[in-house]
Amino acid sequence: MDLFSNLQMGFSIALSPEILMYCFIGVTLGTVVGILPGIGALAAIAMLLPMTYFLSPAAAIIMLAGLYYGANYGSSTSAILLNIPGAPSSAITCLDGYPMARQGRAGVALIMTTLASFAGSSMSILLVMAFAPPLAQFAINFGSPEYFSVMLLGLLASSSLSQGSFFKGMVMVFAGLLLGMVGLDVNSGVARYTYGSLNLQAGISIVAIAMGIFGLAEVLANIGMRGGNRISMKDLGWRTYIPTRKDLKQSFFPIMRGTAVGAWFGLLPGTGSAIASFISYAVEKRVSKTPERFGKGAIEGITAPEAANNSASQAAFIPTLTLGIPGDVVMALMLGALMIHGISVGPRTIIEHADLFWALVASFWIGNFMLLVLNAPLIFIWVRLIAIPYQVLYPIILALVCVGVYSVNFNTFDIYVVIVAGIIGYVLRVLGFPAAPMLLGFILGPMVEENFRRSLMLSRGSFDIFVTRPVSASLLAAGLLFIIIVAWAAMRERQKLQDKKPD
Amino acid sequence: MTTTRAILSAGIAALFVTAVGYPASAQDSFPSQPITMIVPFAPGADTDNSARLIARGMEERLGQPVVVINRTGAGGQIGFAEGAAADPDGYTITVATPSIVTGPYLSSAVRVRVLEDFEPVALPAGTPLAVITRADRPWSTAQEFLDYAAENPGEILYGNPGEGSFSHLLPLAIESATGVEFTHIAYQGGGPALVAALGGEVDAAAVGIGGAVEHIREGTLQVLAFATRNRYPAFPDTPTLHEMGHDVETLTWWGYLVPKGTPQDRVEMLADAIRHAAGKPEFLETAERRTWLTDYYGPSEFAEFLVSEDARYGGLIERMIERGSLVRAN
Repeated sequence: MDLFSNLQMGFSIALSPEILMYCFIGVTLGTVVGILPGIGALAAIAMLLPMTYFLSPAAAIIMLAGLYYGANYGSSTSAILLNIPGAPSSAITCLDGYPMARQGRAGVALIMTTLASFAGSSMSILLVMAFAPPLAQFAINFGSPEYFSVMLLGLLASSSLSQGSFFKGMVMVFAGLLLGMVGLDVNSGVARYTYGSLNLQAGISIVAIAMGIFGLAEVLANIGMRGGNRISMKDLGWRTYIPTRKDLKQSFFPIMRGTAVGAWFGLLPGTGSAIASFISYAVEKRVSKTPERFGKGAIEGITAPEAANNSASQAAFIPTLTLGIPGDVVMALMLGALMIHGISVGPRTIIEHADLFWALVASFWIGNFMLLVLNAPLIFIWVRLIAIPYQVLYPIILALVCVGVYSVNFNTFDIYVVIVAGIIGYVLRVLGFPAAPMLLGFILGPMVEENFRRSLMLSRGSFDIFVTRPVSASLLAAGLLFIIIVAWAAMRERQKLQDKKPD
Repeated sequence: MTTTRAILSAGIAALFVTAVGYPASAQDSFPSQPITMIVPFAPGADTDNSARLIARGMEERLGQPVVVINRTGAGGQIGFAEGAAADPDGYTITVATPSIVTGPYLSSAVRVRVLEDFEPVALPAGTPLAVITRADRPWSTAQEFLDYAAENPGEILYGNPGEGSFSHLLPLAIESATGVEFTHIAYQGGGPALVAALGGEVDAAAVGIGGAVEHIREGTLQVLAFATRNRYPAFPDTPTLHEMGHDVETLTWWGYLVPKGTPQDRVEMLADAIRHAAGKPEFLETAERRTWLTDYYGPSEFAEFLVSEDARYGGLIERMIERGSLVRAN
């Protein structure tokens, strides 16, 4: 088999001591920056980039890639333990991860997310190995109308992200849509809601919004609390780390679905792991027989999104390596690192630089295995974070959030955004408005609008373009079906209430 | 003793002067501290890669570290503004692209004027824009492409990396010079515009030659003409729009600037260090692989070039805004 001989060649490179060391450095650093709120793979890779000039191309890309997918393992840790996401892609993990920690199940939550991350990554690596070129072709043919339809479907699904009042959830989705409009409009070059500010022209940073509304708001909400409802280390015996058979059973299909959702969004350049994790959470809540458990520590609510964001970050290598088209800024950095070595990535990279490609794929396996081994014992240490008194912990978190957000663009304006978003997030929390739908609206809104308008420009104003293309048409049909199911369920609910009334 | 006191006070004064950033002996000691190089674009792209190579070469010549920082946002304008506001002491260099020229014409929020706020140091390299289209369309030369566009106004879908981005000016300049009409389709950056061309959503893409070169080799895309004055060394058989009689030149150059008022001798020293860096084999090798142009302009040539660029793009953008093809953001 070609695949096996290729993979064998890849492992022979990736297992050499030097490469193994850089892979280890990459995944370890990735875990660390993942855990630290705000500081993401982007900042870390940008810092390591100059160092890669002195490495071999294989060592350089394997280290940077390790950092990239490793960050996804760490980012759920702070979400679960502190209710503060390590990265926007783990913001959704707060919803059920933190309640689990409060119930004394932090150890289980961390072990399950690590397992889910590993499972999501592994299945996505299989895709990269076996189907990279055809999947890249699929990604290329995914045009503006298809992007519009899939994003619209995502937006519809976001309605189920809200806990409690449906109305409040929708208000937050729309608030997110409006915030997403700030900045220069791609299609017309018009500045919207910028008030003559250059900083606003660039748009509001997603990291700043996520860190403010989840991270800072959490800190603000805890000011003045004496930690009365905190868990003590005494409640965290070794038994609390072992997932029950029920945990595993409840997580199996969600991990599978999360992986599929993640791989899908990872493939599409410009989408990525944050959308993947949000959508997979929405999917789980929708298919669950017991949606009321979500938000109160449902294990599916953490395993599915974590499988999804890891799967997305592995699948994102497909368009990057087969087309030379980076799915996000971090991928662009990695391509930059290869360019410095004179490797210009394109459709023939897999053939012309077969050794590099297969060494990288082999390193995915090695790296993910390292992450599993690295993360599992560390969980016992991380859990102790909960025992740190608030007055010590929160100033550190505040500093980390500010440094992290600053490290994305080196722009102090983003720190002000965190402060404003944090205060707004706190007020919303007090009033019972959920933050997650807003974040999803913020991410998806601009993409829906941009692709909708672009499609109409391509079709010269005809709406047919959305229904004459099969993929777009089926996605829209799925959206319609979704609306019908929700409406039907709501009507049945009302019917039940009315039936009860006469008694 | 008065002499001791005089020496002491002179020393203290010197310390103070040094501390606020005016070294006591200006000529010999520059640079006496690390130099900051602001790159207003994301790390990893060509602009950043070339800047980092130049920075490394400059370090050798100047004997001081040259620290590259990426200050991104608003199409480079945030980094330009920060570079313009730095002390004019030669310790802060700003890497500019033509966006520093076009910015003020495209948005009234942009306050930086390159001719007034900066002192040009050197322009060591750049990468040209070219007419890149799908290979499976009913044209195979630049003339056929322009003829087709003339006969079918608005039918050719021309993708660009954002309305008002520098690359978008190429199809606009072609329209302005030849009278043809394209339908402009904007994308969120060069990558998505390239994907759109590869997937056949658009017929042509206004993207840098660097990202497209692999797909041209593969035969999916073709390069019809370059928007440079002279033929492009990496593609000697491809004509230029200029030799076809159209006044279209759009070169993404990478220029090095210091704030206005920087002492001339320091400008010269920095220019010399950049010339040294741009002549090093490692820079030239990367330039060849990435198909960069490497004509070195010193301070005075760069200054003249900036004036002509300002006139070129200022005129083009004003015409396009009048015609309704571009919007001036506020």
